[in-house]
This record gives sequence, structure tokens and C-alpha cells, in this order.
Amino acid sequence: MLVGLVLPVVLTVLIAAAFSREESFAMRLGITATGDTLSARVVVPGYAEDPVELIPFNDRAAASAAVESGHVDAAVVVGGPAPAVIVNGYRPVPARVARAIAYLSAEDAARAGSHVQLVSAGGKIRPLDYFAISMTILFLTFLIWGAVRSFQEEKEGRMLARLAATPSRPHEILAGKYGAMFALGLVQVGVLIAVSGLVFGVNWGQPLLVAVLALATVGAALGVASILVTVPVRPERRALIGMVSMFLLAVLGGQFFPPEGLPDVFDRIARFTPNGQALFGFTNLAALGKASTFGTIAEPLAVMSAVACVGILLGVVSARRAFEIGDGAAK
Amino acid sequence: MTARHVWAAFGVVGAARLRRNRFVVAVHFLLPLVFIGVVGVALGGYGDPTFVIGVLDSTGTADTERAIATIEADPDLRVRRYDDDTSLRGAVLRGRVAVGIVFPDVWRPGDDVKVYAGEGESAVPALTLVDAGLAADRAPVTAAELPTVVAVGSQLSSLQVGLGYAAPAMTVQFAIVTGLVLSSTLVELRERGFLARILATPSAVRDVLGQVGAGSWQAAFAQAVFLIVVTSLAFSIEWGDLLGVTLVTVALAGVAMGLSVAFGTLFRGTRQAYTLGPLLAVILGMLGGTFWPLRIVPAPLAVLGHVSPAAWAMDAYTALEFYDASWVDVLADIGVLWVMALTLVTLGALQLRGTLHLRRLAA
Repeated sequence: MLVGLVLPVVLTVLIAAAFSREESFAMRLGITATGDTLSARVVVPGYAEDPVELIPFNDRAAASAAVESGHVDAAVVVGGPAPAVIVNGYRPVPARVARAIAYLSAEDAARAGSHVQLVSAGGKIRPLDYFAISMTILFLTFLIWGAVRSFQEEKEGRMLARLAATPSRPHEILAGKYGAMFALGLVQVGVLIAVSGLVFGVNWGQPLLVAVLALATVGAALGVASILVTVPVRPERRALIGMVSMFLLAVLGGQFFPPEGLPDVFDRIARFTPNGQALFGFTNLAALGKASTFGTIAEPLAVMSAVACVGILLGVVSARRAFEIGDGAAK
Repeated sequence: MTARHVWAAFGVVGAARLRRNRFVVAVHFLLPLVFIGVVGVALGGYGDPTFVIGVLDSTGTADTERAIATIEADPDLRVRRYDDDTSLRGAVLRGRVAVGIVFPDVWRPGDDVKVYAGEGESAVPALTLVDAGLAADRAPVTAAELPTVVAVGSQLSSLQVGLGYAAPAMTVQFAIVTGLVLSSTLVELRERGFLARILATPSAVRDVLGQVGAGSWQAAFAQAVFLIVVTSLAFSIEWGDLLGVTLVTVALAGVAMGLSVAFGTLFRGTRQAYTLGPLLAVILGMLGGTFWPLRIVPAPLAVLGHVSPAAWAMDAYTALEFYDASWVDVLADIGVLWVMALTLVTLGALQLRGTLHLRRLAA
């Protein structure tokens, strides 16, 4: 209950709250100019109503000192032969805004705004949406890892060997075991989708495609856990290896960071991780809503299905060996 | 408990254990380095001052290629190409690109282009730069017209800033992980009945807790020192005032000791310590700013984050590293860390005494 439902919700709220400040964006921008100091505000209409406070300075040195001390986030120097931007390396967003304003305060302003047909992409994925999806995937992997590890301990504790002595056939026992783990994962994902939708208003996208992707994600989690559990170490160490591997995969898959500024290399790495593919698929479904098609999730489905097949096959082969040991002992 | 007992614990629980166990060495020393690298690169991306512009150019004519090249030539813009409209729009919505340009099948300089814009803070400035770039394609901007950029303060690259933050962040994160995972030592003593047998001897609860805590302190301290030295050498990270860094690290290891003692009396089995321990550590780390700086989060959350020892350790380390603070400037943070450490140890001792008392009554 704690790992399956409570912690994912707590972490979703925590991370989403941490990145919610973006929506209340505000900055102080120093500006030095001989003419109309507020013209920059006019030529950047998107910021006319946004809280970009323009602080006038008499000269460049004063503006520079204000940036260095943190009194203003960045400064634009206009009115000379060419505009200049004074930025502090630690404040990238104000630096970007200042540069944009500086471009427009030059002669570009007269030419700007005439060749784009602006089309709204249809909204925005909120931090809450992104991290609800991310934490659902993360805690699914934890839950499935716990279940697969218990199954492994049953194998090593000769429980399967004992079951082999009952009238149940090995394939029936294995189907029951894997079916139960699969159902457990699906229930967790279903509950988290429902809770995040009802409580936080997260829109996961088209239900049918979400359901198909959820099936593949649970399968992939089962596959990854089945592969990890084969590492030949003591059970306590196996538990730690599993947790650490899940966290490492989550970090590589970009699950702890908002996608806006994540370096391109994470896009490439995430494509090789099943959790990264799941995140990509679910966020695309949430972003595109009714516009999403089966093609939207084709790549995540293919990758995750492959991981699921390999991992579960490995788990079944290992379980059959455990049954054979039981048969051998009986004879 | 005598000093001799504590030093014995240092040898038995700490160094000897690490020497014997390569698995522990890998988990405690090499893994944090991997996380520092990965998290550092990730955080470095947020300091990159360029806008990523998505481009869908299905025709690839000389005109569109020249326009894209003009946009790419802008030092503030980076172009990422997409193959279809849905992918481009999805990338805008997910925030992977600031805006997405769709060139029509027939396009000549001066014609309109469709631009997808999201609702992120990057959209408007990126759009203005793209617009200026497309305009420049018709009437090139001279070098004299371009704004010059003057950087003041730190001259570090975004990757250096990312690694510079990730190094103390992961040092703090893994000290907490170590403390919580090493609570398994006490859990094991309880589970196997060794604790009851030890306490049947003249040893007191404080002796046992002292030895277990000393082992955890040593492991966390050794790990932190290793990470500080290696990141200084490998990533050229300047941690700041040596005495300040040492005092913070000693206190941080004290927190790990407190966590191992307190949670060693709470976890019901070693499995819980190995599974719930890292999870709790991550939550404490996220609250305390080991995955992102607390100065980017809303003020109430930054205040709440200081219930976690990670926040105080990060405040101290970042003050020493980024703001040239001296050891005197971080004494308050160190004091809070020690209060937290001793509170945790006390709570652990009380919990253990309570449990043992109940068992004796039951017996």
C-alpha cells in the first residue's frame, strides 16, 4: 500500500510543487537607453502583461554592477551602435529574455512579427501531469520488482520444487504466478491513473491507447525485474541492486527532471530504456489528446514488448530449471 | 562506553567491512560517482542559455535549408528536426522545444510559416528570435547590429555548474542512503536475537548503539571524503574552505549515524531497510534540494524542505562552493545538522529501550 499507492502520490505532489514556480515567472531586468526606455516592453508583446519589471539605469557600469550583485536578473544596454546584454551565468532564463529584447530593440524590431502564423500547440503539459506519469512508472517498477524478487526467493527456497509434486502442471503454476504479478501491476497503474485524474485533473489521453500502453509498461517492468533478478548475489544484496538499478534507470530515463531543459543526450539514452519509452509514450498521449493515434505509441510498444518477452522468457526458463530440480529430487 | 569500544567499532564495523566486501565498495563509492555524472549532465542542461527550435521541413528546398541555416547560425538558437507534424507538436507540448516551425510544401523567403508555440516561458523570446532570423534571411543583419553579450559573475559553463551542484548534492544524497541502508546492521542484530543476547551481558544499550552508530558514521564519512576528493580531481570542482567542508562533512556523517540508529529500531526487517531505505532517502533528498536547487522551488516548499537534513547540508556546501563562504558562515547549518543527528540517535535509543522493556515485561 505504501510503495504502491501512497509514496507515488506523495512524490508526484512534491516534485510537481517544486517545479510549479515556472507558472509564476517574474524577473527584474535592468535597461539603459538614451531614448524611450520602455520601448522594449512594447516590442515584446508577450511580456507586456507578464511580470517583467524594467529598472532604468543611467549607465552600463551601474547596470553591470546590479547584475553582478543580483539586484536585477539581467540587463540590456541599448542606444549605442549595437545593443549589449549583461548576464550572469547562473541565471539562464533572464539572460534569454534579455537577449530577445536586445535583438528587438535593434533594427530587427521593425521587421519582426510579419512572417509567422502562430498556432497554439493546444496547451501545455503541467509539471503535475508529467510527474504523475513519471511516478506511476517508477513505482510500478518498484512494486513489480518486489513481486519478482519474492518469486525468485520461492525458486531458491525450493517452493517450486515442492509445487512440482502437486497435481498442478508447471506451466499452470507459472501462468498463475506471472498472471498474478501482471494483474498486480495493472491494478496499481489503474488506481494511480484514476487517482491522479480525479484528484489532480491529470488527463492521460485516449483511454484505449492508454490501456494498451499500460499493458506494455507492466510487461516491460516484469521483463526488467526478471532480468535483474538473475544477478547471482545474496537476497539482501539483490534487493539493493534492484532498487539502485531502478533509480539509475529512472534518472537516465529523465523521470526526475522536467523535460524543458534536459540535454539532448537524455532523449537518446531514454529511447534505450523501457521506462524512458513508457514516459515518452504516456506524455505524448497526454499532450496530443484526441490527436494521438496508434502510431504515437508504436515505438514505445515495440521496445517495451521486446523487453517484456526477453525478461519473462528468461524468468520462465529459470523457473523450469527449479521445477526440474524438484522432479529430480522426487525420482 | 569507552573510547576503546568506539575505536573497536570503527575497525570492525567500518573499514574491515569495506575491505572485505567489494559489493559494498561498489555501492558506496562507485555508484555515487555515476549518479554525480548523470545528474550533473542533466542539471547542466537547465543552465544552457539557448532555445531549442523544432523544425519540420518535409520538402528540404534550398530556400528552406538556407532559412534553417540562418536560424541555426544564431548563437541563442538550436535546431532540432522532426519528421512529422504530430511529433513536432508533441515536442512543443512536452516542452522539449520552445517553438516548432512548419515549413509549407512551397516556401520562399518572405512567405509565412506556421509556428507552434506552447505556453512555456521560452515561447515568446524564442519566437522573437526565430522571427528576427527569418527576417534576416531576407535582409541579413550585420555583425554590428547583433547584441554583444557580456557575462559577469561566474564564468563557468552550464556543464560545470551542473556538475558543481551535482557533486555536493549526490554526496549528501548518498550519505543519507548509506545511513538508512546501514540501519540494516541494527535490524539484523534485533532480528537474529543477537541484541537480546548482547544486552544480557554487562553491555548497555548505549554501548551497542554507539558501536553501530560509529560504524555508520565512519562509512558515511569515508564515502563523502572519497567523493569530495575524486570530484575535485576528476571534475575540477572547488569545494571551498577546507575547514568548512570538513566540519560539514563530519556533521553530515553524524546525520547518517543518527538515521542508521533511529531507523534501525523502526524497520521490521533487513528487506525493509534495503527497499524502503533508498526510497525514504530519495524523498528526504528531494525535499532538501539534492535533485534541484531549493532556490527554484516556491518559497513555502523551500521552507518545508528544511525539515530534511539534506537542505541544511546543501545550504552549507553550496555556500562554501559557490559563494566563497568561510567555515564561520556555515556554523549555523552545521549546528542544525548535529541537533538533527543527536535527536535521531536519542529517538532510536528511546525506541530501543521501549521495545526491550516491553519484551522483558512479556517475558
